[in-house]
Amino acid sequence: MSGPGFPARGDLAARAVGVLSFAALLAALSLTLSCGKAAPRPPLLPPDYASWPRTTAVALDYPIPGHMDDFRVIRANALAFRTVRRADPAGDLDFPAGSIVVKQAWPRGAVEGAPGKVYFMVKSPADPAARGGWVWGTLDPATGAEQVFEGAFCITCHANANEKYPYADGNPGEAFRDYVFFPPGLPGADPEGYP
Amino acid sequence: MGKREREAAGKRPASLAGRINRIVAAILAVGLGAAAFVFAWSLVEARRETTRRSLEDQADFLYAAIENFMLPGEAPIAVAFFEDVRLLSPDYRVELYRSDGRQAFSDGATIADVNARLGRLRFAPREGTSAVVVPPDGARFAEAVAVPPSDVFFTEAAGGRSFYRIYRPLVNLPKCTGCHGADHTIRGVIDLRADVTELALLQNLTVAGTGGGFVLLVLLLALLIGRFMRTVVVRPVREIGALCRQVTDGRFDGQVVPRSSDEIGVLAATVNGMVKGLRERAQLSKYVSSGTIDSLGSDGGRAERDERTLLFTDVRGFTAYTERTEPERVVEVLNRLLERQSAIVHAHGGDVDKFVGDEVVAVFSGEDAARRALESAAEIRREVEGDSAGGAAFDGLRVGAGLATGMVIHGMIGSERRADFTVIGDAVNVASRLCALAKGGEVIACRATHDAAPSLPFKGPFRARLKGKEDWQVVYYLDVAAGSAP
Repeated sequence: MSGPGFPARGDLAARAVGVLSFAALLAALSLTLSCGKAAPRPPLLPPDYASWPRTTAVALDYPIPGHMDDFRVIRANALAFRTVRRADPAGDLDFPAGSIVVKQAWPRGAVEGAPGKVYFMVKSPADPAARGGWVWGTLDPATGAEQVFEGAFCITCHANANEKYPYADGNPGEAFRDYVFFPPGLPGADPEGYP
Repeated sequence: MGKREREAAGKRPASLAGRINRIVAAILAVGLGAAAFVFAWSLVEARRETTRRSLEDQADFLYAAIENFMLPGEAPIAVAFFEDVRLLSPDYRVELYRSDGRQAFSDGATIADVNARLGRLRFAPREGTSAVVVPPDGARFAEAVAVPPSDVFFTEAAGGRSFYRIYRPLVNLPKCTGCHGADHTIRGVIDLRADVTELALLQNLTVAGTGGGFVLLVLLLALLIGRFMRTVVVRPVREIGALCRQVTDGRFDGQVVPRSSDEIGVLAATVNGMVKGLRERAQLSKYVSSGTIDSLGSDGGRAERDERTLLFTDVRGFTAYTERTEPERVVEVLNRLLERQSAIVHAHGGDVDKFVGDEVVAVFSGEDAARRALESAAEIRREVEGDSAGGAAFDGLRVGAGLATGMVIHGMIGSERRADFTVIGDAVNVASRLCALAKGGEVIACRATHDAAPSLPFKGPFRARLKGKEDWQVVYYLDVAAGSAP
């Protein structure tokens, strides 16, 4: 049919197909985005963490909830040490973003060699997984795989560091220690740390 | 049998309106059905999530209460607090378990353990045996007390009622280790259970209402869209179809009112134009010959030579009739006479070339043209003579006819302003002369016409002298009265 008065052939059909195609494209796009896997998180713990100085000379071999009777060594990065050196040893602490405290743990009686597990807390208040400003996680030394805990378990215990607690000096003044039980430079400890 | 075959067999074809309604209903059912399903699913999930968060918040409050009761050693206050909470609502239950699944505060084991750890009688020993009043769900309970622990939310049904339930683990905090020791991470589990039977019933009613509303909406929309489609598409198409049927039946006075400027509106306007053209052609056919009309669409100016049979008829005594009859009657009778002759000619495949006063000039072409022309003349003669024997249709008028067959030239004859598609040639003259020779009721044919249809009853041959012809001409009289005439 090609009468001169007829509208351009396929106008309505082309428009309908266009709208449907656009809707299908949007649906497919939203489905793809909603089903897509999140980008993997880059490693939080630098590989040289084992060379960082220890924050305490206390032999951490007594049982505590969460870490039980593992033999523990606590280290902190240079930023954390610098922060503490500028602070009142008995006062409140506020570690800046980028501060890292790491806890190596060996099962009792196997202190030699690589630790069985590594716990870490990375100060990163902007991170969605952060609790109390810290991202809490573990590292499997055997595989190098990190796991971030997004629950409240870690911070539930570590919140005790901001009040009196039964470890280290006990925090008698109930200073805010930013969830760290053994921060560098506690009264009586070497502010430069221990090898 | 295929669909087209069924339709061809006379069964009623599926109506466009019904088909559109079905398509609309199907699209609405799928589209709105998906929307209703998503809505209902979202409703259930929203209520479930809301209840879960509410239970989590309540667990947080209880957690904080327990922590603050226990730290100063006020376990009896904690016990009383739990009992008061249990009395708040029969739909709401709260329990506290130790990490091994035994109900907290149900015996003196913890008190004895704390007193031994502190090395003094900090709390008065308590009588009683440990018990598990409501056995925890084993797998979920184990998940709640694992390290790291996690809240466990789940639904369950019991006794015809539905429950939302949450296990909230209690962590053995460093500040708790003074009394409870540091050899374990999880101290126990808070168990909150909310009866959501009425909530579930409300959900079901809401979903059922949504479903009912969905069905009603589909029906309503299908009705509205169907009505809209009938108005916009089906009705105009039916009107166009009815107009086409009228044209098929030979009526050209119909029109369709275009209701829109879309494709259907344009189609209606086009069909109107087509019908108007046909109407004008039909009107024109009253005044000019079919050959003239046919020539309009072709190269009518090109003359050709072909064999034709010419039929001339003329009313005998017409001049005298006009003098003694009222003009209105004359016109009425003449028109009736010409109309009947014209119809008979057309019925036999001839074309009325022109009317000249009371004279009819008809042309027959093609196979068996002479026979059809003779049969037309015979029928005209029978009809007119039959009426003249006592009828009043033609006032007793009689008709004579002459036929001739031969080569003629046909084409547009005339000027730029006025022309006819007509024939000229000797056969035309001969037919005219034979018609003039014939008396009322006589049908005279030339030899060629006779020879082309020899099986018809003729009288003759006779010799006749025709004006403009030097030689005698052989003519035949069609024996219409013989009874064997066509």
